[in-house]
Amino acid sequence: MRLTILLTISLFLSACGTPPATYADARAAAMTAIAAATDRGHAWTTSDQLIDEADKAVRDGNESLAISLADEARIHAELAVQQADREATAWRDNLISN
Amino acid sequence: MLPRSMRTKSFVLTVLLLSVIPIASVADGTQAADSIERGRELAFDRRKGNCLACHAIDGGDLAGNYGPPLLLMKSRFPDRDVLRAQIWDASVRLPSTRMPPYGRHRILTEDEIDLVVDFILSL
Amino acid sequence: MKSLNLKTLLIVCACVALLAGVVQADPETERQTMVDYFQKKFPNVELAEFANGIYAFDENAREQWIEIEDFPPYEIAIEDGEAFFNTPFANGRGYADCFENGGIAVRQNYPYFDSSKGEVITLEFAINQCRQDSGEQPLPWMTGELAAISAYMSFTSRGNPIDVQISNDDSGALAAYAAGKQLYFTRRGQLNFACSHCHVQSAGLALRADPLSTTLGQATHWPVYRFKWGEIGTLHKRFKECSEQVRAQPFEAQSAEWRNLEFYLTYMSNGLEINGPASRR
Repeated sequence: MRLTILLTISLFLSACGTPPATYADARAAAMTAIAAATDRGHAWTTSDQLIDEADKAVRDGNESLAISLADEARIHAELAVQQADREATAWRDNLISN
Repeated sequence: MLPRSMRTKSFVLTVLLLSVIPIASVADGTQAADSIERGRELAFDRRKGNCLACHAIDGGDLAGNYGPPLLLMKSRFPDRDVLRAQIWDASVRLPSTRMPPYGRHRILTEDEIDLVVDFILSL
Repeated sequence: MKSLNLKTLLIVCACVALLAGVVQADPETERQTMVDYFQKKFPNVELAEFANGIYAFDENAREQWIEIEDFPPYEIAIEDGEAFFNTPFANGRGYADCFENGGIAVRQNYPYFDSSKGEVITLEFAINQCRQDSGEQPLPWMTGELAAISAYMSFTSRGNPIDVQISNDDSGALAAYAAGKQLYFTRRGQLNFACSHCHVQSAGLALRADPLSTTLGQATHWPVYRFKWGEIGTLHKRFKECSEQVRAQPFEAQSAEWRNLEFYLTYMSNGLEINGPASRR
């Protein structure tokens, strides 16, 4: 009985209370995404710039801004990978013919 | 004669009323003009829209001719949403487009795109 | 029934061969397509003139450029480059020992595909290879001493038609060419441009006040003194700049990707004369 209650409580907590994101997590996720885009030879310069800005925001004590900048860097890297996927075939549409 | 404190209060009240009334009456016009002006700044800024890199725009210097001049935009785009979609990702309508996908690639934020659309439609 | 199957098989085979042919089109046909494309686009520009970039078709810019060429800003680089070129390494050898014809008038043969190494060798790559073979440190790729040596070697090659060789039975060279071509036509960066968007379809149009150069002739005149740079720089410095302009993370100078790109790009200029070093806005 006690166990059931405990389980219920813990399930409830895990469902409604995702732990607050930390800058370290957001940054690590961004770096993983950037590495994937770099592997494909398609990374954007914007991701690195956003990471620089995010690091600066953390140094200035603004963690929530830093997290949103790191998230943006991650999204740019994900878009770069999507671009690589699309261009794997789409590049042929740019060829000229006579 | 009202006591000094009362006089000050009524003066403040009058000033407040006088300043609020005209603002309220022209608020819409001012707001529209303001967003067009902010849209213009975004459109001309090399690090933001940089529309002038490719398009001739009235009031802009050193415009390119990579894309068509932005003229009579209201008649070319009677539907605001169509113009917004074009700026957001022109490749939806024309896959071979050379226009950067300002929304899809997050070159501008959604709010910034709205301001640029306001400005472009004023041309 | 059996014959029908055979027929189908033959048709399928023919289709596969045709597809393979499309995918593996030969470089010479593609170069000719590129030449035809630009001659149609610029009917008043002589083929040889494409080696002069935008000055082939932009009259105003051309006048300024001709005036500048009276006292060319790259002259010092040629002189410095000649001095560097003739300074022996610590082991007594020199650049002349690494190249055919003592390194004089050879630029038109670069880049080439080295089948034994399985990679594209650009002139700059060969210069640093030469140094390292003699135990010297490699030089930075994009400006300075290497660009000066490259400028001198271009200067001695002026007037020689570009002659990049790709044999149709050299699968390695064909693969390097194909990789370079793919990169040239691939959208990259946040702004989503391929090289070809600006330098094929939109060549001759202006970004802000700057007209865009044509693919044809893009490889003839390196290294270049660019007024925007205020110094002489190699082709890979320009690749880096172009990448950053479309907000794509650049590859490393002289990476395999960019050597392949240079291979494709230079092949497209085959037959045009080497006219480097040159000055550009």
